[in-house]
Amino acid sequence: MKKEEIITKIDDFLIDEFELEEDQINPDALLKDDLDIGSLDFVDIAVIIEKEFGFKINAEEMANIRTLDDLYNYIFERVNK
Amino acid sequence: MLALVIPCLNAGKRSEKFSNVLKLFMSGKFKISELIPQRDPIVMVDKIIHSDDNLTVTSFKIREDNIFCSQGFLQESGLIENIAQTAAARAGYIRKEKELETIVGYIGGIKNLRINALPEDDAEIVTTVKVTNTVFNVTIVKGEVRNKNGFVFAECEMKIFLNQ
Repeated sequence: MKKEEIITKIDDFLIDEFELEEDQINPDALLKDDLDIGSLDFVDIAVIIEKEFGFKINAEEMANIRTLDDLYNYIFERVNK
Repeated sequence: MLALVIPCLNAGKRSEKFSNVLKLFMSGKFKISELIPQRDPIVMVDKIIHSDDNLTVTSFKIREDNIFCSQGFLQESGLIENIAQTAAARAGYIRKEKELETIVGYIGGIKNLRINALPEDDAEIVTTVKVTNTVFNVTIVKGEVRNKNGFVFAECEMKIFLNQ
């Protein structure tokens, strides 16, 4: 899967699920501080990752994801392992 | 009541576990207070009718002195609490099978809540929770509260944290 596909799916999800504006979405955005994504929201992100990309993540892996780009890269690496 | 519940169930999974749960409750071996941490006057589940790998069904008779009732009807908060306690009863049942203590769960979030009507204060409600996912220590369930005829009073998706 290409990274662009992953970015599109994740961005669409974030805009739809968390009612974010498109201009808030940039790779350097901090999930917690800039996008106001809290620990409960990570549950929804974990669910969409499982549904869209076919793998389960664990809490330890999630703890290392701070920016949107971290999230894209993490999914890209897992999907193309 | 069984006629309402059975169409929801996978017939293949139903038979063995359904009869085990029924036997336990019919024999009075378990009381609901052994499965959930809530105590009167906030208990919103009378009994488990069914529980399997993904689905749990409870029933509850609403009494007029219920703390969630007002003006003759169970209020929205009571419906939500009923769904949450059905999920708690499910967790309690699973832990009981493993001979573990019941644990406290917390409602972490509610999505797609739909209240179609409020049940009257003498009604019996039947509540199903279906586990749709488990992420970290959060269980995500789809809950529905119905009357005996199958009318859906309320439905929602709920995230429940189990304090393990």
